[in-house]
Amino acid sequence: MAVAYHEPMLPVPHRVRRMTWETDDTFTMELVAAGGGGITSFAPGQFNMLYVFGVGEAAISMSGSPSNPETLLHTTRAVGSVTKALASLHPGQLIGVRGPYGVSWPVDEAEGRDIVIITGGIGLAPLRPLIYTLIEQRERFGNITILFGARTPDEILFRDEIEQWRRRFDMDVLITVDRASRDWRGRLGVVTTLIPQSPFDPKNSIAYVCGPEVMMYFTLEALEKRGMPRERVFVSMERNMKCGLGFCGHCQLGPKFVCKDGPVFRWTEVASLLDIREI
Amino acid sequence: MEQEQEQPIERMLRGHDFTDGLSDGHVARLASMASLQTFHADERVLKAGERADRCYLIQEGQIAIEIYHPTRGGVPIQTLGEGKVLGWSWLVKPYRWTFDAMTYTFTRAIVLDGVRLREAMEADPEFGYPLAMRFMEVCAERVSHSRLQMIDMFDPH
Repeated sequence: MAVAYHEPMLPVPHRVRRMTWETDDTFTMELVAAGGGGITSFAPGQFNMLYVFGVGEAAISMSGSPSNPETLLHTTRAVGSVTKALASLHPGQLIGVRGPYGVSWPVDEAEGRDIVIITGGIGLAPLRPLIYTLIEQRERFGNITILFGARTPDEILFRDEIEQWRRRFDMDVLITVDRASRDWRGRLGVVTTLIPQSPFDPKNSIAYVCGPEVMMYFTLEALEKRGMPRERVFVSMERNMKCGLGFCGHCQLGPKFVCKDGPVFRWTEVASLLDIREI
Repeated sequence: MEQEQEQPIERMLRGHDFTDGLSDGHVARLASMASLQTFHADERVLKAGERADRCYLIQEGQIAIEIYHPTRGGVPIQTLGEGKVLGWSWLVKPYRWTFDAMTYTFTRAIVLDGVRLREAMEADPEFGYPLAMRFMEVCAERVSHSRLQMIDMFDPH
C-alpha cells in the first residue's frame, strides 16, 4: 500500500472543520490540512496518529471516503485522555496529524465473491471507508451483507447512513442490539446471532470483521460453523499504538506489530496469537 | 384428509434449519406431531409459569423472549426469527415455561406437540437421542449468546 507522507514522525497541522456527535460518547471529527502537506490518499482500514498539543497522540482509524482524502474523517469514542481532549475541540482549532499508517482491508481479494461485513459498536468506523469503496465498485462483487451489533438502539453508529444502506436494493443490512426496551422492534441479541441466516455463500465469500476482541472471537467461531474458511476472514486489531511505524513495540502482538503489520490481518495470521493470554 | 395435511407440514419441516440432517423417517414422525400456527404482531406466545407442552419452529417473523419485571413490565432479552426454535421447557421438568414470549411481527411457526414428542423420544432412543442433542444445541447456543450479552462487550469501561 502506498503511504503518502514525507516525514513520518512529524505531525502536519490540521484544522477541525466540524464536530458531529454520533452518540452520547462517540463523535466524528472533520479535519483539513491547515497549510500544505496534507494526506493525498489513504486506503480503507488505515489509521492516523492524531496529536492534541500538550496532551498526546492516539491512533484513530479513518472513517471517511478514500475518494475524498483531503477531508479527513475520524470517528472515535471519548474514553481516554487524548480522545476526551479531542472531544473537547471546536471548529477552527488545530491538531497534529501523522499518517496514514497500517495495512488496509484487501478489496481486490473480494472480487467476484460475496462479502460479509460483521461489526459492532465503534468497530463500524474503520469499516465505513471499505463500505464506501465497495459501493463505488459495486459491480465487482457478489452479495454484500453488513451485520451490525450495538449495545442499545441509542448507540447505533451512523444511523442515517445505515438507513440509506438498508434502502439500497443491492446489499443487505441487518442490525441487532444487546439491550432494549419493548419500544425497539428490531432484533435483540448479540451480532453473532445474525450469521446463520445471512445471505452469503460461505464457499465463495470473504469476511471483514471489526469490533471488541471477544466479539470477533465468537464471530469467527460462528463463521467457521457456517463453513467460511479462516483464510478468507480478515480482522482489524486494536493495540496501544505509539509510533505507528513498528519502531517502539507498544503495539506488539507476539511477532507482529499491529501498527505496521496490521491493523488488518488475515485471521490465520493472528488466530493462534490470540489464544495466548499472556500477550 | 389427515395425510393431505401432513405432507405440506413435512415439506415445511424439511425446510427448517432444525431438521437439517435428520433422517426422512424422523422428519415424517415429527410431522405426525406437528401443526401450523400464525400470530399477529404483539401476540403472546408463551407465559412464564404456564404448562409447557409445545415447541415452535419459526418459519417467518420475530418473537421476543421476555422476562416479566414487576415495575418494568416485559423486559425483552432476545428475539428469535426464521430458522430458530422457541421453547424447550416441555422437555425438562417441571414442564413449565420459564420466560414469556411475544411476537413483534406477523409470525408463522410449525408447532410440535411437546407431550407426544417427549413420550416418543423416551420410548424410542434412536428417535429421541438425535432430537435431544438438537435441543441441547439450541440450549447451548442460547446460553452462549446470553453470556455474551451479560459481559456487555461494547462497554468501553
